[in-house]
This record gives sequence, structure tokens and C-alpha cells, in this order.
Amino acid sequence: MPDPATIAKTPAKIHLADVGIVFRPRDREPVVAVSDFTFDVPEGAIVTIVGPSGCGKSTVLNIVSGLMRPSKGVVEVDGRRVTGIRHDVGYMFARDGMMPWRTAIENVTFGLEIRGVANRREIAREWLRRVGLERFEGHYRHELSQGMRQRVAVARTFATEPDILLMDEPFGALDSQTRLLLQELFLGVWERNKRTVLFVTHDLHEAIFLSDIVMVSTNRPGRVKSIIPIPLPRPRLPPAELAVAPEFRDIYSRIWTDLKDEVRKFD
Amino acid sequence: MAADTDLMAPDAAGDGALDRRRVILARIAVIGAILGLWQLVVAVGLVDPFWISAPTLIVQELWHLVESGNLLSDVAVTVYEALIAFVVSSALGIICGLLLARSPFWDEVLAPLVLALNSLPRVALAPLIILWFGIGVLAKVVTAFTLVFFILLVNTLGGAKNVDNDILTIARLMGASERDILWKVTFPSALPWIFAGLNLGLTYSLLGVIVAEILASNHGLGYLIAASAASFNTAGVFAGLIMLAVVAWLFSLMMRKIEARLLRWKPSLTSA
Repeated sequence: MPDPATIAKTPAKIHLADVGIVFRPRDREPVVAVSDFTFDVPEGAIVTIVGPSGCGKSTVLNIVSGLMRPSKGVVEVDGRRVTGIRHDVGYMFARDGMMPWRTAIENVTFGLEIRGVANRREIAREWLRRVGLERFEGHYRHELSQGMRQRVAVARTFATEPDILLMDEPFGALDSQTRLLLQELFLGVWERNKRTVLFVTHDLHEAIFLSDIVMVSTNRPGRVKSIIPIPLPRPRLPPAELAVAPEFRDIYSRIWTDLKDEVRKFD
Repeated sequence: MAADTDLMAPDAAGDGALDRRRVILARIAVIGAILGLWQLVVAVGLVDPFWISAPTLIVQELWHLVESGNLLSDVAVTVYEALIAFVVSSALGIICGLLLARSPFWDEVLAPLVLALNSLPRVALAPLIILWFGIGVLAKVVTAFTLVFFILLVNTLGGAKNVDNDILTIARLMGASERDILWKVTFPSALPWIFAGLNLGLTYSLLGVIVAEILASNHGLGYLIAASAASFNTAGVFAGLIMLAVVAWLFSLMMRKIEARLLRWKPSLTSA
């Protein structure tokens, strides 16, 4: 049972302390994207950051992956400081990032190929089966729908068995029905091995449906406004059923109360 | 688990498929009409065949050239020179393009030089090149090189700098080395740009070779055209031009076949 007490006792997989990120564009004033960011992502949990647009959510993912260095503060994974690009993270964006010159299955094998995994085709085929694309392994990107491309991205991300999944609004570009299906699919796949996930979205339904913890960020500069545990049992109900449950509505209104002041400041 | 619930992208090939036979028949009719009109204009004495020759005279001239064996050897020389120039210049252009894409410093340093050389009408270099390299194969290859190399350099560089950032990020996070990035990401991603350059490059390779042949040579289709014109043999000029058109057409046919194979993943090509 993922009650807040046990989650709090689980060791932190990702640890951010007092992180600040300042962009210094040429010829312009420096922009403080994130300031005094402190939070932990427990091992095996899904933690979602919600916040107004431009609050530096994606930037936080970039410093966890090592793609970017924080201007101040500490970022640790497994108790060790992040010093360069990490190869044990899987990254998903709103755009699918499929290589159009590779077929669906070749997109999934890419990471395994880089690592020299011998039976990569079998592994990739199995992942395509899990995302429901076994009949489309030979298709190129332009032959797949948006939703199918994003499924390939899910398969590609999981195929290398990353320790941490960083997801930057991965379903944000999909139509709302496809989004619900993919959220459910993602959670189904995640349940098998429960990797640590740091997720960014501004869809509150999505945040509650997927997460163990929702973190509300303030408007720019992004700070941690509140940390809200989601004590809903796993495996979760499908999103459509969950949305009408009373406990869901309580959590929703609590998060929205925190968030709406921040969104308003933006107007 | 949801399986095939989302819709397939609609098939790109529409119902615009034309009746091939009618197209080919109409094509023959158009060409026939042009040739017929040409012959007629000369036959009724409207224009002196000294200026524009006539289809029958050109066929005679072509037959004469085939019989003497000159035509085949001229075509062979031109094709040989153009292909060598094309392969060497393209290969070097692509390699230099990829190298420059990897080094923003040298890209920045050389950019104005490349721009200046690329905007220079390179055909103007031909007399100098002939002076340096004589009237043999080398002068033709070098003339064509000055045209083709820059086309491929500029196109490859453009393609290599336009790689999708998401794909690069994903590849880097998966642990791809610089070598992996170059061969598994940058190169395939730039391939459509490179092919656009190759298509253009093949035409320009022929152009460079022909110009050099016209200026100074004793073989090749350019020589045939120049020599015929010098002896007021209009039919010979047209015979040379027709063979040149055939060669150019075969070249572009060949490129399109290779392109369709290598760029199967491009939507526009697979639906064509």
C-alpha cells in the first residue's frame, strides 16, 4: 500500500536541495527559472510536477538528466551528485522523437544497439507487443498516427530499462481520448517493474491518476509551493472511472486551490 | 490494454493515379508534333536548314556518327569524365560538409569563403583550369569539381545542422558516442538534403565537363558540338545536343532510382 508514511521512509532516488537555475541570455537580463527547489523523489515512485507554463518544470528534468547544470544547489541520484549526462535515464517529450529513417522496431532497438545488446530485436519486439504495436514493427514514422508514435516512444524509453524515467508532458500533444488510453497503457507497463518516474504536466487529471506525489510549483521563478501525497490504491482505476471517485475530487480541488493563484499571477 | 484503437494515418497515395498509357501516347504525340512542325518549316522553305537543320538531316548525321564509331566514343568520354567528377566531388563535398558541421569554429571561419566561392560563376574558371591542367580528362574533372563540390558541401552542412534536437537529446542520453551520433543520427537525417545536392550535382557535373570540352578538347560531346558548329554543320550540333539530353535524362533516372531505394522512409517518395 503506498500510504504517505511508507513513501516518506523509502530512500530518495533523486534528491534536489536548494537548486537554483539562472539563464543568462546574451544582451538580455538574466532570467531566474527556478529558485530554492528542494524535494525528493522516492525510489520506485511517480512524482509529478505541476505548475503554470514557464515555471521551469522542464528545466528541472534537464538538470536531473545532467543535460544542464544548476546555477546553485545540489542534485543527487542514488546519493551521488549528478556531474554529466546520465545514461541510465529514459527521456520522453511531448514530441515523439522518433527517427523517421528507422522503422518502429528499429527506433526501439536504437538504445540497445548503442549498448551492443545482442538480442535487441527480440527485446524490442516484446516491448512493441506490450504497447500494442506488434503488427506495426516495420512501419515508418509517417505511416503511424500520433498516438502510435507516442507508443513507440514509450517502448523505446522502456526497452533500455532505465533506472529513472523523465517525462516532459509526454502525452501533451495527443487528443484527449488517445491521451487517456496512453496514460493507462503507460501505467500498466510501469506496474511491471516500478521504475522511479519524474513527470511534468499541467493536466491535473493526469497528475493525480499517475502519481504517488504531486508537487505544485509556483509561477516563475519556480519554487516548491506544496507537496501533496496521492493516497489512491494501486493499481489505479482507469482514468475515466477514477475521475468520478469522491477521493479524487477532494485531491483535485486541493491541488487546484494551490495552483490557481499561481496560474492567475501569470495573467 | 488498448490495442488498435487509434486510427491509422490515411494512405498518402491518393486516387490521382493517371492512366499511364494515355500519358505516354500524348507524350509521343507532342514530340511528334514538334518534329513534324520543324520538318515542315524547313520543307516549305520558311527557314534555311543551314540555321536549324531538320529532323531527317539530324537522323542522317546521327547514323553517320554511329557508323564511324565517333558518337559512341564521344558519349563514352563525356559520361566517363562526368561520372568521375561527380563521384569524387560529391564524396569530398559530403565529407567536408559533415566535418564542418562537427566544428562550429571552422564553419564560422570558412563560411564567408564558401559563400564567395559558391556565388562566383565557376565556369569563368575554366580557361584558367585548362591552362593549368591541359586538355585531358583532368581539366574536365577539375572544372566540374568546382561546381559540384560546393553544392554538396553546402547541402550536407545544411542537413547536418538541421538534425532534430529531441532525437539528438534522446541519442545522447542513451549513451551514443560522437561516432554513433554522426553515423546513426546526423548522416541519415541529412540524407534527403544530400540527395537534393546529388541530383543537382549530377547535372552540374555534366555542365562543367561540357563547358571544358567546348573550350578545349579533342573528344567528348562538347567537342562534337563545338567542332560541328565551327564547320557550320548544324545537324552535327543538334546530334550532339540530343545525345547530351539522352545522357542527362539517363543520369537523372539513375539518381531517382537510387534515391527511392535509400529514402524509402520519406513520405513523398514512398507514395510516388
